[in-house]
Amino acid sequence: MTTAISDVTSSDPGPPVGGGSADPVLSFGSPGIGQRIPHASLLFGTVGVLLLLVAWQVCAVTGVVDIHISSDPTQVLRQDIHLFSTGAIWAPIGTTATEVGWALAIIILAGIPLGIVLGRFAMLRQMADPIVSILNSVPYVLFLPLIIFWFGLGERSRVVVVIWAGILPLIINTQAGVRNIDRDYLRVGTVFSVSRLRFFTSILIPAAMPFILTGLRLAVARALVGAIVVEFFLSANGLGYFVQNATSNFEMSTAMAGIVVMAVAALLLTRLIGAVERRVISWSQAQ
Amino acid sequence: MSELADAEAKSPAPKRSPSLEVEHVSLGYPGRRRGEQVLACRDLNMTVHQGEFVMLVGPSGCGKSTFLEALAGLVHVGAGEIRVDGRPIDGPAKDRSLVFQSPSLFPWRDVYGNVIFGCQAQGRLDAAAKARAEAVIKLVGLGDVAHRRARELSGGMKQRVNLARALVTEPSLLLLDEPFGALDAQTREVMQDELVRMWQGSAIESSTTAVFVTHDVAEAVLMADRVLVFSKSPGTIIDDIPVSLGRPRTAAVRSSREFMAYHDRILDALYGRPTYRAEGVEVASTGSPRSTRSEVSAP
Ligand SMILES: Nc1ncnc2c1ncn2[C@@H]1O[C@H](COP(=O)(O)OP(=O)(O)O)[C@@H](O)[C@H]1O
Ligand SMILES: [Mg+2]
Repeated sequence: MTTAISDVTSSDPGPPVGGGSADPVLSFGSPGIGQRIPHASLLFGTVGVLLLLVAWQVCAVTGVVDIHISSDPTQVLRQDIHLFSTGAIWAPIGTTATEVGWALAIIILAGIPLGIVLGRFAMLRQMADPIVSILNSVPYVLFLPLIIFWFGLGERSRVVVVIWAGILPLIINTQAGVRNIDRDYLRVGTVFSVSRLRFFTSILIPAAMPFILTGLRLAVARALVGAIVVEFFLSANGLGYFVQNATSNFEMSTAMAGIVVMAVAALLLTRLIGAVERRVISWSQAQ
Repeated sequence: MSELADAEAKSPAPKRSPSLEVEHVSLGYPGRRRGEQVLACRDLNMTVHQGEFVMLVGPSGCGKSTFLEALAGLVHVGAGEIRVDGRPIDGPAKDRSLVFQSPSLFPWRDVYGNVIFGCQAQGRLDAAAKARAEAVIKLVGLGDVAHRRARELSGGMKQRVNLARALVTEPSLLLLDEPFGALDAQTREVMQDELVRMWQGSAIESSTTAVFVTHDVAEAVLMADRVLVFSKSPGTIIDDIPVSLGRPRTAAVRSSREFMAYHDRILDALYGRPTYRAEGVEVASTGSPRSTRSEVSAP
């Protein structure tokens, strides 16, 4: 049995069981403090971030850390406002977003079908297994020089690296979802003479969807890392290059401002996938 | 014995064309060693007529599910032949539906979505099928929860969906594999009554033939036009008992001497004929331990 790559980032408590069909008047049981307050996870998460920022500010103001090296939250905020008002940040954001966008599109369009095929056909899976696990466990950074040699210094190389960075968890998880499909579902399909096409659309893909979305969540996270790494190496633009350039010019506030932009983008993407999960696989216990 | 003979003579089963013919069928699974076959049931022979409600009863592990799955087309028929309406079967087909032992619902679909799945899969989900699905959902008492997800249902409700899914495809052969076996006693009784009610009413075509597997002897007598008794593994048919109790089989019928006589005859077939039967003792009134035991368990 193939094991899926587990999703360590998921800490959301998930939607209440039963969604819209819950009785509107009565409520049973005594929820913990984390559930009594609406949007508790968002609220407490924000409080956590704020506490960290305050601590940082205090350390900077009291001189515990050198402000030239560490910058401080107010300066970073000011710098972010500046970067957005002058528009200087848009070009790097656009470059990185285009890169990641293309890569994710290809990751989804190739990774899910590949995972399904490998999950369904034992011989292909046995052939691909060693390759997949090598590619998944050897750091892709190692292949960077090769990729540059093959694909040049341009955008093509960068997209290839991002795909390389992100696609494996999606393939592996999709494959695991397909292989772990409940035998009962297959029997129901067979008894009612389901056609091949409908078997895929009505049974296999929905059943594997929780695994697929977990794979996608991991793929997005790794793709973002891949994009930054590749920009460190071979770029004259993009957010990764922007941060690296600012750091080497000793403009810590600018570097930090770039990191904040990246962090917010990552957070939004993760939240987006979480929302998709809540809509699409609300039926799944595992969520 | 005379009791039973009288009952059988009272209302002879209407003779209709055979719906299901099973000839010298043996079924098995590949064993541990290469090429080895493990027999699940051997040399099964039966003819079931159109509209008959046949109960298969036997100890657990005797191959009842395997046989039913072979009828459904899920299990390859190794030896012998199975014919439905005169045609040898070759895999699953639209004329047969199976009510699974475990509900086997798709959790990503709601009740309605699960119920229409059969017709959808068979590519005949037209307006008529949709209307039928809605009617059957009401009939099995799920009208209020038609748009609930499968996981929000109780065990009994899930089995109702399982049953409704099979009924909506209007099979000529309806197969049921211990559909109420996992339910609590009360729910089981309610559902037995409901199924019989549907069977007798217009909800199920009178030409539909049903093969219902159980290990519960009382359930067998309650539902059957005819009970086929399976031996221990590898199972084969060791008794064929027509049940001519009137319907509906009310509480009075269930506690009648006739009912108990059928009950005991099935137990006898399963365990061998004990001596007290030969003495003609009225089993139901003597309160022998046999007469209260209705669950068959493999010794
Ligand atoms: N998929 C399978 N592979 C191998 N053996 C099986 C399989 N399913 C059932 N069997 C065996 O076949 C026999 C009959 O099983 P089954 O038909 O499920 O019995 P029942 O439904 O009467 O309890 C049992 O001995 C069981 O172990
Ligand atoms: Mg069984």
